[in-house]
Amino acid sequence: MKVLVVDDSKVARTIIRAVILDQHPDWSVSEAPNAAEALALAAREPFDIFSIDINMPGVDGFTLVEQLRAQGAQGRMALFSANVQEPVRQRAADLGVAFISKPVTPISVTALLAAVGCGTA
Amino acid sequence: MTDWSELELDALTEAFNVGVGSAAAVLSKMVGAEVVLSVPELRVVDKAAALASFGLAVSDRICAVVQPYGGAFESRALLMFTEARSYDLVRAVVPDYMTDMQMGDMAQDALIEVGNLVLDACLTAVGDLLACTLTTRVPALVKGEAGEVMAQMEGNEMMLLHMLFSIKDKNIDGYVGFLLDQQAMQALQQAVARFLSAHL
Repeated sequence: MKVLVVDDSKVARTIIRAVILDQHPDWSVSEAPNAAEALALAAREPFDIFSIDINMPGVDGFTLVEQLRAQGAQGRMALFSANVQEPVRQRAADLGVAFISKPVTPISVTALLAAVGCGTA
Repeated sequence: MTDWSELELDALTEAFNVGVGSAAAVLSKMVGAEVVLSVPELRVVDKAAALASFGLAVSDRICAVVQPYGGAFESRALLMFTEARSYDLVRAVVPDYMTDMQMGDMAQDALIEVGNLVLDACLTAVGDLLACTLTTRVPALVKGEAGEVMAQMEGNEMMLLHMLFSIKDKNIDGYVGFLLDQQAMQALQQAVARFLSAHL
């Protein structure tokens, strides 16, 4: 599996990556600090799973989901955010993507993988 | 001044993000509308330089909810607004049918409630990140000229988070600050460094 983690926090990206690789050492995990880099990476190679932060400088996570799809991305997507308001969760549901609440911990990353259909259990 | 690395500030910003996000979820239920949050920015500044980085003059009138807390770090957390913004915030959180006169009585309580909510959520998120307990005590509202309010506070370094949020088409600028003395700031930094070395 190939995963793209999009988050403006390097700490968040690094922990998400470490937890995924701990559970799935044979997967590859790429990182992007913003939407522009995520779009550029996804244009070069296909990803199976996208973990996307919502509140990022510039383009936000919701818009990025739409832009990735418009660009032909086929992977399963999850929004991974500290913004846990009901209207935000609803917008994720309307877009047809999973929503996982931060903080980034082994438990929340495992929940993210389960939400995109790649649980370990 | 304590020198913070980009990664250390990044880790704390994530914790504040979680705190502000969970407070916004409660606020959103209180006001029956989404609270639109900006990307917060965290800086560590001298208390003397804090006002300028707030974009405030010493004579500007501000309103601050001050929340003392103890536990791993003994300090004060503040949620500050300019007085004008504080009225916008109160207007957003109290019911529309309240008259201005009734509002006067409620404004103070409403601000303390919001301040307590935001600060408690931020302290909880920082405590969770660093695996330490921070216990909040009773918050109070302080009003006055910015220079005077800052002068009253103990502590010489300030960790400052600038956040922009909008509620019901009102744009509200708020500042979350932790006032710490150098010893407490170093203890906080050591805890962040421990977190980073355990997780990265």
